[in-house]
Amino acid sequence: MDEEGIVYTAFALVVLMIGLSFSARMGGGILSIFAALLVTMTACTVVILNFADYIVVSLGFSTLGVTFQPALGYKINRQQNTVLKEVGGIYYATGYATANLFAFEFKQEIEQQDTGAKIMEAPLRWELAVTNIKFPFKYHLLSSGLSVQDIRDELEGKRSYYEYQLSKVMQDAKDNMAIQELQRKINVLQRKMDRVSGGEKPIGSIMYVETTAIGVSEKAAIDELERQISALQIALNPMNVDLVRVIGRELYTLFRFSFTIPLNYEETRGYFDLQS
Amino acid sequence: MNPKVLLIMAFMLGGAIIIGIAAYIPFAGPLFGLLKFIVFSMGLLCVLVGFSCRYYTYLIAPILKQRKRHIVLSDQVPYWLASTGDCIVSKRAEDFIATAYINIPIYVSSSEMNDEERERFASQISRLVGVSREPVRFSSVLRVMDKDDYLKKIKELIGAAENEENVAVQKNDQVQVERAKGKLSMWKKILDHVGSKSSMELVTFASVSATGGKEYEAITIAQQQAKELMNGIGSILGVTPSIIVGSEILKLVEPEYLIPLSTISEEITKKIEHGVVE
Repeated sequence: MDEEGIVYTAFALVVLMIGLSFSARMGGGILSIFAALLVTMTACTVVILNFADYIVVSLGFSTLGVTFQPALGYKINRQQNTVLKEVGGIYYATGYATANLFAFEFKQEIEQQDTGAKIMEAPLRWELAVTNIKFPFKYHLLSSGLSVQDIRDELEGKRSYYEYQLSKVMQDAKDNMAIQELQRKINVLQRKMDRVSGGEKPIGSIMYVETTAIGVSEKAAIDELERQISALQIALNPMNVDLVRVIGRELYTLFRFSFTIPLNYEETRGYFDLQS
Repeated sequence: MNPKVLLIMAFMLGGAIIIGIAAYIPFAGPLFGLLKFIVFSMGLLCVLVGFSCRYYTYLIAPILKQRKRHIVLSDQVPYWLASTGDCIVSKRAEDFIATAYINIPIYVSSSEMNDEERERFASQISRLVGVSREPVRFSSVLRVMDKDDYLKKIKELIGAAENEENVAVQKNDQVQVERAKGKLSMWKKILDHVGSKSSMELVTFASVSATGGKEYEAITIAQQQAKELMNGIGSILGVTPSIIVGSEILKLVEPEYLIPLSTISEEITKKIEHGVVE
């Protein structure tokens, strides 16, 4: 959860706590109980929305059978996972999936021995993967260079904070698990700092794939799209990519990326939690 | 302050005030109790809507206004081609956003590279990704090649070879007849081979957007950013990128350009036949 999410959730929960304290003033009896229950349910909804809004909201729209028109000529289906367009009696169904390459690399404590070999193999693996795909698809990488100094300061600040926590925990030598966890986090941060110091430019990036399927009806196009996305997962497996289908508000955002790219890094961060 | 943040705060504080009002409505009977409860629920709803505004501001107004199963978020075309033909333009509120597309011509295959060249290429791609402080989208598009023109040319060549054969037969020139037959056979085999299945092409491009109060302003800034990006791409990869213009942009943006119409008809026919057989 990012800092912005924490602030909004905390603010909402504080207001709801005030509401809970006022529920006693609803006249007592059953009304006060209902009011307290309603506040509790609202608080649970706020917490669920914070962590999985795209699932909950999409499920709600899917259940109610709501579809959207994001622009003239386009339609988002009730499952909120496909953008449909009809041209000359043919339906084009476009779906998106996240495709973060080598995500695990950024979370490793120590540099892996075979990183060089992976880098050398990467272009060949990409070509082999693409050769096995027999339908239209797009691979997108939206990236933004970040300030080296800002990133270094942020990483140093986080490391200092973990080191402070570690020093406090080490006074109680019994809590080995907490010590190990903090040491692991410090190692991850140190590795990131070493990479930045070594000349690697920090970037914020979002990677996703987009594929389009055709059909003589909406259902036919959507079914073909499902098949294509499954085929993409198999084809891109050698790249260590885990494709996760994009739904809901993020689908709408990626659809808009087809025509307009975000204008700055802060705008990109506002749409997603960045992958790297 | 960000207008979205103001909206969220307004909804949440509004919700808190409504909850407070509900608490202080005097309880003078069951009807008043119900009124208190309804006002209290509205306050909670305000807080929930305020929290949802973080990501769903674009949905709230249309849903409240339309209240239908099919919600129209926009009834405008998502973009239009700029008069200069070198980018697409869309409107967001009062501002214009222009997006330019840059072709990155990479014609080398990694299967032809040795280990050192592959490592160098991967390193170039890593540098390419961080070339700009502004967001840039690098894309690889795999699409079905439109071979209609090429197949038409081959058919014309087959026709010409058949004419050549007929003329040679009339002249009774066996050497020419054999030569014409050989040519005809070659073109027919090429037609069978090329036309038997779809061919795919891989296009790599970058896209960058810029905003402006006027359309020409956004277009100028987008073109400037595109040129800077082209310089960066050229110096890193050693290729000559170019701005994509006109209808070529549509091939990167619209889904119907990913597959030519002739291929669509073939695929649909195959699916129908497959369905009938099953």
